[in-house]
Amino acid sequence: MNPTKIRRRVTAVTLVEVLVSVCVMGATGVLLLGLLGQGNRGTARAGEVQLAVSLGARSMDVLLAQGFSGLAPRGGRDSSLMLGKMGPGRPDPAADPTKLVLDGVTFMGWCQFVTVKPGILRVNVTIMWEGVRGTERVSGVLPLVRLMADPGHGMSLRTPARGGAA
Amino acid sequence: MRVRSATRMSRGSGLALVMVSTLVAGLLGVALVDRSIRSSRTAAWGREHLVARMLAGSVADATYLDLQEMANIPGSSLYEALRQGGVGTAGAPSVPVAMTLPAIITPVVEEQAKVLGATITPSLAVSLRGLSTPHFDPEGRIGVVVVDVVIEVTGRPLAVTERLTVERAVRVSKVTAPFPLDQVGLLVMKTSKRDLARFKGKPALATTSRAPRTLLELMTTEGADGLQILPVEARKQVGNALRRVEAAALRTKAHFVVKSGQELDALIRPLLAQGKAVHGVVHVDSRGPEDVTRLELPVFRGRCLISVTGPVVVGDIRLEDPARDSLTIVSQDRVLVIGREVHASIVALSKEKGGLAFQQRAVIRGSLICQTFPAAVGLSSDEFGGCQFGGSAVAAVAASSHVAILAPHPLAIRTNQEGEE
Repeated sequence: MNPTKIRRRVTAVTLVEVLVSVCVMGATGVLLLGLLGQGNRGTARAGEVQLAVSLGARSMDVLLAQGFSGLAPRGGRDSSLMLGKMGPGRPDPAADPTKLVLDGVTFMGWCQFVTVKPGILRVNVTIMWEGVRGTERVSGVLPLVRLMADPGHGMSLRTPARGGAA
Repeated sequence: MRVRSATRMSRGSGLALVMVSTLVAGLLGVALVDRSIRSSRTAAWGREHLVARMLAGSVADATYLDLQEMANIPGSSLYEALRQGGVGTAGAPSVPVAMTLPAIITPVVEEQAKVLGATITPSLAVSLRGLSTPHFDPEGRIGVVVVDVVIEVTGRPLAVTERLTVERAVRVSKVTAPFPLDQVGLLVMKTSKRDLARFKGKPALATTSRAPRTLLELMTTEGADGLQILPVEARKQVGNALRRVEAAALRTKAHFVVKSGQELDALIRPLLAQGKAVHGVVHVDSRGPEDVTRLELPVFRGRCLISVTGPVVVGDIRLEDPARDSLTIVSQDRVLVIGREVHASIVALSKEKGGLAFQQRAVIRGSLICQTFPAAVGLSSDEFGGCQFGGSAVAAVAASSHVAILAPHPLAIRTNQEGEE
């Protein structure tokens, strides 16, 4: 066989391979970058939700520890939560203590106390976050509700006027 | 020859390499996405658990209030369960208490379900455990109320179940004088020649009546309408009842213990001022004979027994509603009545002469029990003889003599998540 003919056939096959390879790799690259971006966003979003859950749980625990008698007088007013003191490391004294900023996302929170009926206080805690990741705007909100009973209510409950010995 | 071999080796192998690389990259990408999805699920799971935990605590707290109310409403499931005979000691089967989810919980559940985009199903079970009669209070009951709450969150990738069990002590106590002292109008444990000579030192008793009777009437009327000698067969029972109103016994059975008359005032006045009631047995460990507890209550609401170790000064006391309110005052020391209208029963245990004294011509609408005959302070004999006692019959029947109170703070709290025992 003519060696020149053989060499020409090998060159044609290799170019096709290269073109197909480039297409496949290009498509894969685009897909992979898309998946990478989506994965990153999803993981970042999950991290935001987890942090919000952690802040919400901690805020609620701090409030509940004050007891019914400590919270009931604060009824009707919205108060900001001191999330700035709950972040990692030492809080910056110059920073706003009501905000926690992590990785470009700002977390804020509020609490509110409402007497829903005598002896029951509704504790509302709302954690909100917003910020910019790259070119994308992120935000979220986590509302929490806890009903709290007055422990001394048993001593002071006015029962209906039905008599009778025990 | 070398060119031919190289040609054979390169044919098709480049594409295969690319395909393999693409496959590996694809697998990496899928793994990354899978990790992202798992992170999102974990974060959502954490959020749902927190919401479920808050809801479980809310159900437990709202149930505590409903149970406290039910415990004193005749005919309710908890009222009946508490007052039946003792069902055994700890470890015995518990008694279920019929209970529905508090109405106040429903809107909160709906709100949180909307926030999560899930279905939230709360369930509640209440039982009584270890109900028995304590040795220190034969007319009372103690037990433990167990509240089991389960919150299920479904409709999300991962179902969440949060369980919460709260145990609270419950105590049913008599807030009037123990039987048979709650049946008397006036009881004087030790008479003397100076007051009731005809009784020759024996205890004198006047039974309760619908209308109060003056001291003069009680002393001069013979028979059932006046003072009579306490029957011998009743003396042991009366003696036992008096031991149950001694300081140590009342302190053990008390729902609340305070350390002075001022603390008592700080406890009950704000409640009354807010229109609330005062229920239970309150024991005052007075600091000494100089720590005088002053009880002047223009409007009292509630069913209460106030036990004081020190001296007591009783001013005007009026019940807001005699059909459902009652007040019993027990003092281990002297009692001085300075009010005109006292809608309360008084037990004065001081054995000194003048342990119970009147500074006003008073009407006592309740039982009056004293160790020695009442004395007058600055009163003429007419005024003293005009003091009225008894008239508690209506109140004794209408107002329940027992109060059930759940402990303000739980004995135990247990939480379980799915998969945990």
